[in-house]
Amino acid sequence: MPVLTINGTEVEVDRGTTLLKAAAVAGYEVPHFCYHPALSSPANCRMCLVEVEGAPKLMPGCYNQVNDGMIVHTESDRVKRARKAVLEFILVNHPVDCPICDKAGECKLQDYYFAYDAQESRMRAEKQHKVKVYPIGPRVVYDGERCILCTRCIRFCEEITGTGELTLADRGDKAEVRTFPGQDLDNDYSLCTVDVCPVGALTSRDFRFKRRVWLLTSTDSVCTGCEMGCNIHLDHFRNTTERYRPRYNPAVNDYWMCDDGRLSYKALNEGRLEHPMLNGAQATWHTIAGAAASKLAAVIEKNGASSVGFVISPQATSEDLFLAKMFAETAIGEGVRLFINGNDPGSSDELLIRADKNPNRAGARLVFGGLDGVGDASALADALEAGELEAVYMMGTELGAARGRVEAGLDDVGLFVLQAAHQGGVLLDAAHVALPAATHAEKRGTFVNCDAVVQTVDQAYPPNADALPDWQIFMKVAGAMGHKLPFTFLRQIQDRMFEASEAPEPEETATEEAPAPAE
Amino acid sequence: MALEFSDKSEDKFNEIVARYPDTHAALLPVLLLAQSEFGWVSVEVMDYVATRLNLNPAKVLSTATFYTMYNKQPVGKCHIQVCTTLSCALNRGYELLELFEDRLEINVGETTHDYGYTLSEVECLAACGTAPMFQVTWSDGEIEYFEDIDPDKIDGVLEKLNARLSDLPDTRRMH
Ligand code: SF4
Ligand code: SF4
Ligand code: FES
Ligand code: FES
Repeated sequence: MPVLTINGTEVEVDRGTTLLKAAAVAGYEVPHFCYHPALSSPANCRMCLVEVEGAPKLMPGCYNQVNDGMIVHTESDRVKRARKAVLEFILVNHPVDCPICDKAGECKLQDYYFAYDAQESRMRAEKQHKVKVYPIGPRVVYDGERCILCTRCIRFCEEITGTGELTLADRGDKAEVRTFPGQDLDNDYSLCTVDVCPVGALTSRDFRFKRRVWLLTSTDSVCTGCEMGCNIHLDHFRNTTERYRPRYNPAVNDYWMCDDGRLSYKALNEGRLEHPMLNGAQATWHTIAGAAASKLAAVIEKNGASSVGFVISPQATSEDLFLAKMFAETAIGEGVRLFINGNDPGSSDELLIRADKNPNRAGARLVFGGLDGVGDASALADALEAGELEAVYMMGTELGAARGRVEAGLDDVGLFVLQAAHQGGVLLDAAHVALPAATHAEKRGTFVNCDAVVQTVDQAYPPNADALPDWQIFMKVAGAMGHKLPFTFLRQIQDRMFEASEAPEPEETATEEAPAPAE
Repeated sequence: MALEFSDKSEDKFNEIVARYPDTHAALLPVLLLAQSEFGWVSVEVMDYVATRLNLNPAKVLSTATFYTMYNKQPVGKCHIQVCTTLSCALNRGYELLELFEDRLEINVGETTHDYGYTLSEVECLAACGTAPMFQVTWSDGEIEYFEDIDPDKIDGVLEKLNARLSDLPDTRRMH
């Protein structure tokens, strides 16, 4: 393998490695705009120029490959002068409207300007004006003046989604990113172009002007839109999630996520069940746990555990499901009828989108030792219609197409306990007991994705209003029924859970393991 | 109205495509062929070319808008392109351009009301030895060089150009 020296540090890398990547191995970040680790290298921006001893000119590090014995400088005066010149050139027509630009704070042009240019503009001529607020697709807005023509967005659509909606049209200082007339940037991953855009030329119509990004706090989490479980940065402000961004994980989603998943953050903030409710009136956790316990115990005593339908959710974390299982076994008892609700299957593709629109069916399978004999929402509706259930205890509000039938059937049961993060419309009205649960932004936990990758979500902020993580709710209600479940910390549950199931413990996510090539 | 090459252009098209390893490589000459057939390169023409070459229309848009030789708007039957690069500039090329502006009563970059003439300023057309010069693209697709021009005889030159106009199609009505 070639050995080369970068800024005095010797590194050995694979043949074919680019100078930019070799520099990363040596611990130096070479600034770049057009290069993206997941896309081809057109070497069009010249920001990554580095000095190779013996070569007459500076070379683009994103494109040129290492040779044995090369001596490379990425921080020399010559390189820094070149960076400054490239930035001055890019800024000739750039509007520098950072004060109203959504990208400010996470913009490469801004960062590099302060790192390498930091001079007042010497340009006295009028700047070239171009299209400013162009809705290039239903979810993305394009600003031609901010665009630095790096073509990352174009290559994303050509190389990752294969849809090729975008192209560079016209030339010179009139060049712009455009779609063919009559076409939109409307693929299932279109918002990834906003991520790959190094500047504020492509912005999300959902996030535009909502929040200065430096006010957001970012938490490592997982998208719950489907069983792929794309890794995300969950960005929140004052206990409200305001956006998802994909988080690099080569084992799952690489640098990407789908638009539907990305916009699914809204559910975290809307229609929440805030307080414990007893027959429609607000209650405290103390009274509600007691009420739920005595009502449930009465049904079990009168009609037996087999008259109770216990509905688990593939939206819940594995820890919550583990406690659900213990609750069903100890507090309700043998013979309890198990069901699983969840979102109906939807569309899927070759890239990330999976048909099962629930993040943790695989986790439920592991925790319950398979889901054979566990009926789905329509089986629940059948059982309700047949009058087989005296009580229903349900996690979550996702019922898919069976919703109407389940709602109708719930009218006739003597006891309906709803334990959910959301009100679920009619479901809350039907609930005799409603227990507010935390969302995955409000607790820690584990999801298992469709490829058996075990992934953790971190808590971004405390549970909304009176909500609690499901596992704590199960402990409260079980406790009130006289069954003390022996946990204080999530970690204790995890120890038991991983021991009980075949699931491997989650490894540190790849982002923490190896330095990901900078985006 | 769906566009379609004439039989003659169709033969030419097949000949061009056969010359290249893939259809993308044939894009430049096919666009030129389409321009001569349909008068100018509209969005419909780009779409037609994309279909014929089995290319993403966005790629065709990119190429057609990059090169100035593809007219994205209808031009005059006689498209005069005057060279003002070094040799021509030194040999009264600019004067020639201004004389055309004067006689045609349009500015460079404009088209006469009747779509008879369009006047453009272009870079070197590789006829520097016979400067000053201009190129004409006729609306039937033919390209003609006019070299060693004496600006003092501009009116004679225009007479010659005028003589051809009546036989030529109006690009606005070619598709
Ligand atoms: S819109 Fe952004 S990603 Fe696309 S070419 Fe312009 S600067 Fe690059
Ligand atoms: S593919 Fe699935 S997990 Fe990934 S972002 Fe989309 S919905 Fe979320
Ligand atoms: S030229 Fe290397 S990053 Fe753009
Ligand atoms: S300078 Fe006019 S043809 Fe070359």
